[in-house]
Amino acid sequence: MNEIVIAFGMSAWFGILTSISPCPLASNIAAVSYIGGQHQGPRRVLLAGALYTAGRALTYTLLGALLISSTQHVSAVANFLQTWMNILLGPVLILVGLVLFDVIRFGSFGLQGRFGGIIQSRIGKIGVWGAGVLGIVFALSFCPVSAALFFGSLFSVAFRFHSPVAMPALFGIGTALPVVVFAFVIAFASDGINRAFQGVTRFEWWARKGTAVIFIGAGGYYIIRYIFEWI
Amino acid sequence: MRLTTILKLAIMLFILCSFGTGDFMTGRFVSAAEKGEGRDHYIQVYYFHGKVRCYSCNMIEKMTVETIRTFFSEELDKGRLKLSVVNVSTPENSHFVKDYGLYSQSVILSEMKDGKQASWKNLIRVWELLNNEQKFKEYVREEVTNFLEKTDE
Repeated sequence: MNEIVIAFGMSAWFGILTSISPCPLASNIAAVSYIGGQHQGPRRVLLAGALYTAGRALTYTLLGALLISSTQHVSAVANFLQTWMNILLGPVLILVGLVLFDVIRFGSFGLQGRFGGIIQSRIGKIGVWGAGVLGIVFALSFCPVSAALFFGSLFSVAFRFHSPVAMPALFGIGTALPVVVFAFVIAFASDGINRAFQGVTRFEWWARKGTAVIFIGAGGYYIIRYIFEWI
Repeated sequence: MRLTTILKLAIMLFILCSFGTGDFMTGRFVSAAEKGEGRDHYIQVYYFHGKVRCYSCNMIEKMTVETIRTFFSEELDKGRLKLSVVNVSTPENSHFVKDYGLYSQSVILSEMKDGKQASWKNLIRVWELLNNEQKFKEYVREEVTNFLEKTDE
């Protein structure tokens, strides 16, 4: 009984270790700014945090359920995700940053009129759900630390205790926990600034632009590191 | 016997004698290991990395190399232990990814016996212990010691 409790604790700890290591720092900063930037109140931040956590937990659970029982594919999947997701992530982050910056508008792609308006309003509403998508995308973007702790440390424990679902899910929750806590701190601190200046609209504008800058910066980092391999 | 045939036989005899460094004549082949140039039974420690290096990856390499050089310098000198840092992103080394099912940068211990790999182990806990240098080094030291015992058998 004690052993399995320790194993569940270890699964979450491996996730926390992944999150606090330097290698996913750029994506963590982007996630913190996105979740903390949900400035329509603490409930929105809570919802965005929960969706980000759910996105990460779902991704790791699916990978765990698929790979723990058939370990011969672990190496191929791990290497594929580490190579291609990090290459894709840079341009995607920059694209999201440009949308948040209003540099890219849906009218620019010929989606004008009623249809374009519908998409634009949906994008506006997707804000909080975007946190869930972000959780999935960031979970799939493995770096050496997350790959070693997920495919190595967690898999060996989950395999031993026949837990291809619960332990990977706990790992996912662990990876999201530090990000969500930071996002809360930032959200409440900015809420205080917001109230002090009584300038809701102006503050929202700055928060959105700040998140856009962080996304573009993080995207640039991924492009330099994984496409050009300069660092 | 034709002259060319005699020449061919002389060359073959010369090559065979060179391999045996004289002992061939007494009927006993002296292997490179017995001469102290290498061993037939030894432990190979690999640190595998890819093109992209990270802070944690460099730390693992540094602490692994330090552990081996600090605690196993005698074994390294005698050839009972070998240490290699290998980049698996090059075409000639990419086979290691399949050979050991690598999913990240890894420390692998390999027991080599008579030119073949007898057993191997991936030290997966190096990533968990990365932030605790003392425990990391104890772990690597213990695992290498256990593997070295195999060479005493």
